[in-house]
Amino acid sequence: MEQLQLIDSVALSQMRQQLIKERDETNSRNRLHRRQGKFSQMFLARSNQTFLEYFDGFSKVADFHIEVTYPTQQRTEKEVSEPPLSTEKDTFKRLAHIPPRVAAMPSFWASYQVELVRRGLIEPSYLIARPGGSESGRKRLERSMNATKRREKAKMTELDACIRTFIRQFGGIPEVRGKVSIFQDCRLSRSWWRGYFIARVTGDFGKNVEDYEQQLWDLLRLSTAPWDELASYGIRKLTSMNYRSVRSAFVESLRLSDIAKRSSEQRRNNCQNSIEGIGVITANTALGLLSSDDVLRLITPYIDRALVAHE
Amino acid sequence: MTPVIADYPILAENKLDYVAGNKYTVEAHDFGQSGTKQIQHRLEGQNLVRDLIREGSAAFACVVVAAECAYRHIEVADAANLNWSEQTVSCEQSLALQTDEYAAPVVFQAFVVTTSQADTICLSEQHGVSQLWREADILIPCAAKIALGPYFASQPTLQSILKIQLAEEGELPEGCFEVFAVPESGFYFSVKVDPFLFKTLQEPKGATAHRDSIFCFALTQGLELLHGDREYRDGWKNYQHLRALHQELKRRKAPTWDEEEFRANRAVALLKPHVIEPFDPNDSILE
Repeated sequence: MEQLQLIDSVALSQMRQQLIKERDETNSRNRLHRRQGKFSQMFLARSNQTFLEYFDGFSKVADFHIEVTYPTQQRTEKEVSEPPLSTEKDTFKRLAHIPPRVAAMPSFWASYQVELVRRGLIEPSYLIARPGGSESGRKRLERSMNATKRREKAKMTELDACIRTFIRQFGGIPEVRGKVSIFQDCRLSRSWWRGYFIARVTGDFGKNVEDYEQQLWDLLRLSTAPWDELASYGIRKLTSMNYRSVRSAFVESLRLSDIAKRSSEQRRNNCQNSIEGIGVITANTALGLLSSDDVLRLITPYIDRALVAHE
Repeated sequence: MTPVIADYPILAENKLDYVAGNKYTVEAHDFGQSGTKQIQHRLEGQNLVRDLIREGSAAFACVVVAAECAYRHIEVADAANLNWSEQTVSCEQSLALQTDEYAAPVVFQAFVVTTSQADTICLSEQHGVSQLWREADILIPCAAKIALGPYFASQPTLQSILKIQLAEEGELPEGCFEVFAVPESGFYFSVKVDPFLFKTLQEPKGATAHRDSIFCFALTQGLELLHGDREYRDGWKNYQHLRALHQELKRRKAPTWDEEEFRANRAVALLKPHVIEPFDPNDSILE
């Protein structure tokens, strides 16, 4: 275990706000250039050193350290931008001990990634690689930096896309996307939260633990739903989804269904309708007092109905 | 979503299930600091809720919600702390605010919940219920919320001390200032800010969270007043109340979120992030 000192969250938030494009920015070229300059500064000469110097200049949280472990092998760019199952599991396993309140902090994930760069485990440009894209982060950055003046508009667009990818990956962007960003945008934190949820569901329902966990990872790694719905409803719309028993029962009921075979759009509709059904029950019932098995019995009819309605 | 009507009476403010004299109130002490905090449940009157607590089928409880940490948990008060008198039953409950599981902001709601399923009850006058419920046979399931208390926040959300309302003509009292909404529509409303708010805002430290809560709320309320029509997608651009609040803060030399000049997009991005569409709609990351 090593001690990780966190970058000050206010300083990080200011950095993100300075990088974010504003809607009326076309009227303020100064801001636009300041923004681009700041981003270029981090990645100047595309070297690890420049990146580290930039973030080492940030103030740190005094008297607060988190014990962490780092991967033993270098990560590939793909493992950073769109981590496969094995990498997601490894991320959670290495950091399973950190408390949820820390895992909910963008500054933790930003600080951790700075340390990954320092240890040569990732390149800074990996943080710019677009998830699912074929172009490397380095190439993407170069393309945006080297665009000619004539193509300035395209350059701005591409540079902004790079900035967006970077700040999402670098612990999320709560200023724009809200707190759900940490559950959806930053790949590292998303892996951790998936692992955390899965460990709890397994604790409630798992019998053959390894096989059961594998099924849950497969389910929660499906694109969009159920993961995105589980996160966004829990954070923004129906916080009753955050009762351990409710979340476990919800995930278990989906595992028992055929939802994994459905299209992304169907899954999203199924999940939304199911969760809204659970919302109806929570109006009068303190679901958090019931066991996961009891909640499963209560919510199953609502979930079945939602699944049938959007077959 | 169709609201569910419970098949049993619920004791709560603004509900008519119980007759006058039956009341559930909650006091929370100093939620602003870390550590263990106390809440005081108090149930008045001879009623069904009291009966169920007495027979051990119901308990005072409090839900702790920290949505940002995906946390929600119910703490049931210890029955050993119940205090009985002829007309009231009260209970002191301790809640730990600082744990590894969650961090602020935290919201709490106190309530009375059934902890087991009771036998069928035929309601009568002695249960304190209103005429509508009398002679009704009810079966209350386990985990039913039978009395609802108010919400509390670990940090004041200040919803209670900031009100945006249609203003009457005439001089506005201290703490109120006019905001011209949509000039062509010919009406205006006032933003009334409690003196406590300004005191808080003028403190150099710890004001950010307060400001964010206030302004988010102000923005939401203002939008509701200005644009009830949800189809009006650019409604967030009408931020006159925020502009006025900004001016007022500057006039009072209080900190603002934009020190130099008011910039709407920045204010909205900072204070109401979900109002702004997340980046480019063509951005595949959102898919």
